[in-house]
This record gives sequence, structure tokens and C-alpha cells, in this order.
Amino acid sequence: MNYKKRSRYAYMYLLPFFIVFLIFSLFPILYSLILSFCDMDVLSGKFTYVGMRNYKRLIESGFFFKTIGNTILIWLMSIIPQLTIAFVLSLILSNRWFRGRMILRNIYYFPNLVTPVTIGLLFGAMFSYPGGAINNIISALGLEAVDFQNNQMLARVVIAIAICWKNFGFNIIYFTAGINSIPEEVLEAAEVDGASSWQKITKITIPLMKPILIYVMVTSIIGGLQMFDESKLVFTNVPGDATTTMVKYLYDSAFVRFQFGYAAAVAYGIFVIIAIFSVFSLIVTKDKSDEYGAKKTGRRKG
Amino acid sequence: MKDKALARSKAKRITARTIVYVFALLVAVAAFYPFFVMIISATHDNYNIVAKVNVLPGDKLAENYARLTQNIDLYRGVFNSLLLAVAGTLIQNYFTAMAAYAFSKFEFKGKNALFGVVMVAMMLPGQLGIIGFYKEIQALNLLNKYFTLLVPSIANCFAVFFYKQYLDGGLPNELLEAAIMDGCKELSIFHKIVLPLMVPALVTQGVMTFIGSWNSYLTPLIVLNDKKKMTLPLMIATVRDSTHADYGAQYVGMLVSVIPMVIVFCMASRVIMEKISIGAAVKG
Amino acid sequence: MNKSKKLVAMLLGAAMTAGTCVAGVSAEEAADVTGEFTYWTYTDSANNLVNEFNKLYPNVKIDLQVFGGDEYKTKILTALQSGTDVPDVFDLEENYMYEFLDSDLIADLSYINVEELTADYYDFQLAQMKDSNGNYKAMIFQSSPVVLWYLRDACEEWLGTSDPAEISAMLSDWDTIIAKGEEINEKSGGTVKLWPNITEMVKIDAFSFEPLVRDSKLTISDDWMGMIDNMRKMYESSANAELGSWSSEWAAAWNEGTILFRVMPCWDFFTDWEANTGNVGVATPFKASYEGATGTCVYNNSEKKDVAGVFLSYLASDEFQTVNMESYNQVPASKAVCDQLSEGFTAENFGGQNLLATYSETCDKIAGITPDKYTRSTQNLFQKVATNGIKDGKDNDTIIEEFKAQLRDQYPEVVMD
Repeated sequence: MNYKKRSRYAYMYLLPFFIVFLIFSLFPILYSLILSFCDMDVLSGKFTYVGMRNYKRLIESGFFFKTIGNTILIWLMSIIPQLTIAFVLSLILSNRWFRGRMILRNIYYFPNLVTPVTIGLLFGAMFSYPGGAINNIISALGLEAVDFQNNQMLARVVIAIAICWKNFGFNIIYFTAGINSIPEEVLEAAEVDGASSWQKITKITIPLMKPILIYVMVTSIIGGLQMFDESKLVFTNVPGDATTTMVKYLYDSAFVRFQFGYAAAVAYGIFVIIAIFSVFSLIVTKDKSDEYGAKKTGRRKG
Repeated sequence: MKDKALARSKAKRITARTIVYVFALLVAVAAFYPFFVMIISATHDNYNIVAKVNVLPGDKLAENYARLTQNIDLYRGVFNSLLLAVAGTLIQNYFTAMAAYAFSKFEFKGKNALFGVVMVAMMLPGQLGIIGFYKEIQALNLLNKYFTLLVPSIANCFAVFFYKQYLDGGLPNELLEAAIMDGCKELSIFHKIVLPLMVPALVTQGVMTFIGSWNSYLTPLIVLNDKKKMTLPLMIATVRDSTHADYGAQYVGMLVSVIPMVIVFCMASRVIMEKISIGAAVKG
Repeated sequence: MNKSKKLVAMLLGAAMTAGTCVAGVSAEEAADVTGEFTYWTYTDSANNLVNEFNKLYPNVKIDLQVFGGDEYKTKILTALQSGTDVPDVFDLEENYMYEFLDSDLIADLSYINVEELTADYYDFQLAQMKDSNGNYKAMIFQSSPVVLWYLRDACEEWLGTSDPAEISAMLSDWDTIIAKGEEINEKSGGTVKLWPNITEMVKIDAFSFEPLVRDSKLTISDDWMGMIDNMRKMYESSANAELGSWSSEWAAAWNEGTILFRVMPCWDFFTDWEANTGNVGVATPFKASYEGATGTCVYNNSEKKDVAGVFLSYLASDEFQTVNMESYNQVPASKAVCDQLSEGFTAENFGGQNLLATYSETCDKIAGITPDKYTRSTQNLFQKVATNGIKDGKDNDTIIEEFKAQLRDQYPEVVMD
């Protein structure tokens, strides 16, 4: 392959995306960056340069660090069950003997179609104290009703459940895309070789869908650490603001207290946290074959 | 002896499958229940929605619908949203797939730096960008135009990332090498080989784009000023403000807006589930 | 949404005496006014205003745009900042209005003789319409006083009366309320609670206190400290149910008569009207407040300020406020109109109560304090910190320290001692 000649086409393919990206995505990002070194008057929109003051405030704000802790806790509690359930179900649904997989896959995705306002109302009501649906079940089992909202950790668990519930179907879709991208022949060959189901999963399915797994992992970090709607809508008042997430703090700074300069600094603070997690996850999962795209070794087996 | 072992392994398999079915069904019930409550809530009055968890339908659907549509042209909103969602899905996925193809199958100068920029853009929380975005589109005289809702959507970094990962794993280089050897033109390689092989991924991501666009609220709200151009979520939001929300009317609105999504999703999931055989294409 | 729609249900069947309209403008004069302007709002009830306005002023064309949802404020903010496509008239909601009002981009309403137009308004409404320099910047035309909601039969049973005046008199301060509540709790064998939760105490108290932050300086007066003490007393007492406001348990308990009172504005969707029609009453609390005001503003650089002024003047008129009450069930901002309409007024859903008289009495009591951007948010913060602190068994000093720490994080510019 003529490398030089080919690379010319790469720029052609990238051009439309990057023109739009530069104009409509990068500009607002840079605008926010400048804003983070300024104060902005609410209505006139005038900038006043304040140097590092917003960042200084951010670093000195214990509250921001608290929201980082809250976010990571809720994220861990939601992402682990979410990805596990989604992966297991994707494997189940990829079995041909499984009847009704079409309808089930549709149903699994339904929570993602429910609007955030509804999720707030539903989960708030389900976990309310002492008469919510969950507490009715707890009482029926002869146990004492639980005040989820007024317990920091339990309130976080409820938010995590809401997020997990909302997103697992979304992950199933991507996992399925990954599983289906594995050529049938590879699996058939393994079967001929006498591989067990477990071996097929660990030796073929997982390694071959690694690019998609990386996608799901990275977007789960990026999207998960930016969680906001559930934190805003499920419980209105949790002791110690235990369910206030980083982006909720950003939102309140910008659109409740109208401190746009500070909010911009918060946005970059959040970016740093997310970047650390993402880069770490990419390093952990990196291997050489990723550099060159396709997993040639895996393919040749088939 | 052999029969016994066979029977035992059959029994084992039946048990395993029953467990799998029960688990899958339990999750399905948990997933469907709140969705179901949302539909049922459209038929109740505000008191019942707020104070109770409703399982049986009520008789307030007509009233709620009348309140929702009193001041808005609901079907105009459906039409506008549909137009934007379909057009947005097509252009976004076409151009992002193109960019991803470049990232996945080419070596060129600045590749890692450019891809790094894409990743960074994903990691910045977007809530604040809206302020700069507005100033920009106002300066470019793009307010109140559908263009402003469609074209910027091309810059969807998540889609580029997804397609790149899909192509990394699912499109063998041998296939492209063969095509080049056969003297295929560059663009027709993309159109005739890459895109068809990406169909499941395109549909997967396309559904996400469609639903995202169908539900999008903040950007259309900021960009559009004209009643005639309003999308469905903007219309539904008129029955809600921060202190007093008409939940009954809102739920009817959600019902109207969720039905097209369910249809689109169910249609798409048929395609997503199709397993296409790349291996056959390589050998063939 | 439309407060009026909820009130339509509430006041269903209310016999209303049509007040004689005091028309400031004759039909001929009004027909001579021509022009057009754009008007942005977040609530679809604005359609009613526009329709009524056009009945009198048929030659003024209003381009009304309703942008619903929480992000309306972002919409108005970005438009004002950029200076293009700015509406001539726009509504602001109380919880961010005072962040905006000081701006030069919002017209000083003295150009339409606002003081004359609003001479009959309740004091608290006049205070609400001002910016921090005392200039009138927003027009308000309806009131939403906060009152005590109760069920008539439950109050008959436990308090011996369902008359709003007698109930108001009976609940004259927190000690009395707590004592009464403990008595009822004992009589009912622990099943009936008088008070819903300690958070709702703040809704009654806080609006008559000196605001916590004034001119960017924090002062926590004895009133605020006293409020924490009262909240703690209530929390420890058997009078308190401690069911969260707006929760399903809270709504159900009130509708079943196991919580006697809840503190809500005059709009409400927590009443089970199917079960309790005619059985509902509202009483004036011993201190008064309001919730959720809407201010209508004019863009200062608008070329259509004149005709916008005609619209705002119309909103302030007795004529419109009368129609707004009679057709859309909104409590007037003008005391004169409210008192006039309240003569002989009865609401069947409320057991024939003269609701307007109760609302007017409540409005009269609301302290005329002009809020600033800190007023509502510091009050909410104080309420949150106090509630959580009391539940955690913390003492006053710890609560105040926590409050200050959070305030410092949110508004570092506030000066504290």
C-alpha cells in the first residue's frame, strides 16, 4: 500500500468533521476557557479579567472535592452492576436458543426512553419513606421501613440504582454490536475444536470485542462522571449533600448562582478528573495491536 | 450408561436455561415497570400522579390531552422533531463514520493529536458551552435556523470514537487491501465496502442519534425563536415550569413523544441483531 | 403550567360577584393604539393575558412565545447578553429575578407612571417589583400567598372548629401550635399529627425576618436563631409528623386527615378533590409569605417601549385584575380589587369559604421586604442546613458554622463577621 498516497485521503475523510468541530465545538470550549479566568456580568455578558481567582476558589472549596467523592462513589456503585448486567444479558441474548430475545432487548432499552423528570418522580416515589413501594416490600417482609433520603449512603445507592436502571439497556446495544462484529466462522471454528461456552466467551468473544469494550468503558467513565439529572431530580434534600455530583455543582454555580466564570473553572476541574480516569483506563487496557486497528491475530485464526 | 450421562447433561442444560430465562425476565420486569407507570400516569390527574404509584389506568387522559394541546400545535411539533431527527441522524452518522474510517484505517501525520482532541472534547462537561455557542451562532447570524441544529451535530465525538472502535475490531485490513489491489477508487471503497459492513454499527449509533435529537431540549430552546419551528420537547415543556408542573399534561406529552421512539427502536433493533459475516466476505 | 387551570378546578362552582370594572381607558382610545411587540414567557397562561389585552386593544399585535421548562432563564439570559433577537417584553420568575433586575438592560418602569398604576397594590407586591436601588423594574399582577390548608371535618374533630378565623386565632405562635399538636396526638392515641414537618415552619417564618444577607453582608438576627430553636422543639415534639413536603405519604396523610395542616400557596395539586370536595379550608398563618411570583419586564433598548408600556399598564389595571380573577382565578395584586371581589365571594369546593377574604388577609400580613439575589437562596440554604442539623442532633453553633461554610463556598463575596 502506498502510505503517502493513502494518507491524503485520510485528510479528505476527516475534513467535514473537523471543520464543523472547529467552528461549533472547539470555539465554545475555548470560550469557556477564557471565561474561567474572568467574571461575567449576568445580563450584559461583559468579562472582567480576574486571573487565577476562580481556580484558586475551586481549589480552596472543600465542597467541590466533596462532590468529586460523591460522584466517584455513586459512579462505582452504578457502573459495576450496570456493565455486569448488561454484558451478561448481551451474551444471553446472543444465544440462538433464547426465545423472545428481540422483545426483551427492546424492553431492556425502554428505561433509556424515559425522560429524566419521570425518573426523578418515579424513584423519589418508589424509595420514599415510610410508604413508598420499596418500603412496602420491606415492611411486608417484617423489617423496619428505611428512610433512604435521610441516610447519606443509602441515598447514593438509590441514585446509583436509578442510573444503572436507566443505562444498562444502552450498554447492551453496544455490547451486542461488539459481539455481532465477531465473525460467525471464528466461533464455529472454536466449536469444532471442542471449546466450551466459557472458553468461547473468555478466549474469543471478550478478546475480539475488546475495541468495543474499551469504547463502553471510556464512555462510561466520561458519561458516568458527568452524571447530573438523577442527582438533581431523585431526592431534593439529602443530608450533607451526599448526592450532589460534580456537574450538579457546576450547574448550580452557573445557572442558579449565575457565577459563570467560576462555573467555567469548575468545568475544567471536572475535565481534569475525568481525564485522569480515562487515561488511566486506556493505559490499563492498552496493547500493541490497538495501534494498528484490526486484531489481525484473532482474524487469521478464523 | 451413556444414556444416563446424556440425560443428566440434558437436565443440567434445562436447569441452566431456566435460570437464564428467570433472570432475563426479572430484569425485563424491572426495566418495563417504570415505563409502564409513565404510560399509566398519562391517564391520571395531578393528585394521583404525585401522591400514588398508579398501576391501573385512570380516566383523565382526555382532560390531560386537552390541557396539553390547548395552546400548542402538537402535530406540528411531531413533524418538526421528526424532520430534525431524521436529517440529523443521516448527516451526523455519514460524516462521523467517514472521520472514524480515517482514524481507524489510515496512518497520517497528526493522527494521535487529532484523535486526542476528539477525546478531550468528550471529557469537558458541555453545560457551559451553550453560552459561547449562542454568542457564536448569533455572530454568524444563524439564530432561529434548522441549519444550526443540524450541522453542528456532525461534531459528535462519541460517534467518531464508537465507529473507530467498531472498525478497529470489525473491518479486516485485508479486505481494504484487496479492494485497493482491484483498483477501487477511494471514495467508492468507503461507500461500497466500508459503509455496508458498518450497517449494524450505523444503525446502533443512528438509533442513539435519533433518540438524542428527538429528546433534545436545551439547544433547540436556545436557538429557535419562532413558534412554527418549535420541536416537540419545547412544546411539552410549556406545561411545566419550576414551581408548578402539570404532570398529567406532561405525561400525555411524553406518551406522544415516546411512541415514535419505541417504533424506531424496535425496527432498528432487528437490524442491530443481524449478524453479518465479515469472514465470508474476506474469503469470498 | 398555568396556575389558572388548577384554580379552575379548585374554584369550580364558586359564585362570583362581578365587580364593576373601573376602566381607565375607553374602547375608542384603546382602539387607536396600534403597534406590535414580542413577548417571551415560560408559562402558557400568558395566552390568557394576551387574549384579554387584545379584546380591549384590538390593534396591538403581540408575538407571544412560550418557552417552557427550567431553562427558560438560560434562553432569556443568552438573548439579553447578545443583544439581538431580544424580546420587547419578557417574564422573569422570582427565584432568579433579583439576579437580573439591577441591570440597565431592564427598563425602569417609572416611564409608565408605575407608582400611580399600582397605588392600590399590597405592600409586599410593591416591594417585590423593585430592584436593589428601589426602582420599579418588574410588573406583578397576581398574588400567591402561602396559607395553611386543612380539612374541615378533621379540624372539627380535633380542634373543635373548621372556621378559618378561629383556626388562625388558635395557632397564634409556635409554642401554642406545638402544645395543641401534642394534645391532639395524645387524644388520638398517636395517630393524628398537627404539623407536617419542620421545613414547612420556615415557609411561615422566614419572610418576615430581616434577610440574612443585605448589601453582601451576613447578619444572623435573633429571629433566625429563634427559628432553629422552634424547629428543634417541633422536631422533638409529638405534634410533628416529619413527612417530607410533596411526598406521597405527606399528601395521603393530609387527605386522610392524619396530618391536620400543610403550608402551601394558593395553587396546589396535592388535594384529592374527588374525596374532599367541599371539605377543604384555608387559614391565614400567624406570619405570612408568598411563593413563586412572576415579574413582567421591558427591554430597555427596545424600540417598542411605548406599546409595551401600554401592555404593562393594562396588566396593572383593576379591569384586567378583575377579569384575571373572574375568568382565570388568579388572586389580584391589587388590594382594592381583591377586597372588592371578595364581597360575598364563596367557594363551594372549600365548603363555601370566602377564599378571597382569607387570601387578602394573608397578603396584608406579608412583610414588604424587597428581595435581592441572596434572599431566597440564603433562606433555602439556612432551611436545609437547619433541618439536617436538627435531625442530626447538632447544636445551634454547629449549625451556624455549617451554614457559614456553605454560604462561603457559594457566595465568597459575602462579608461575614
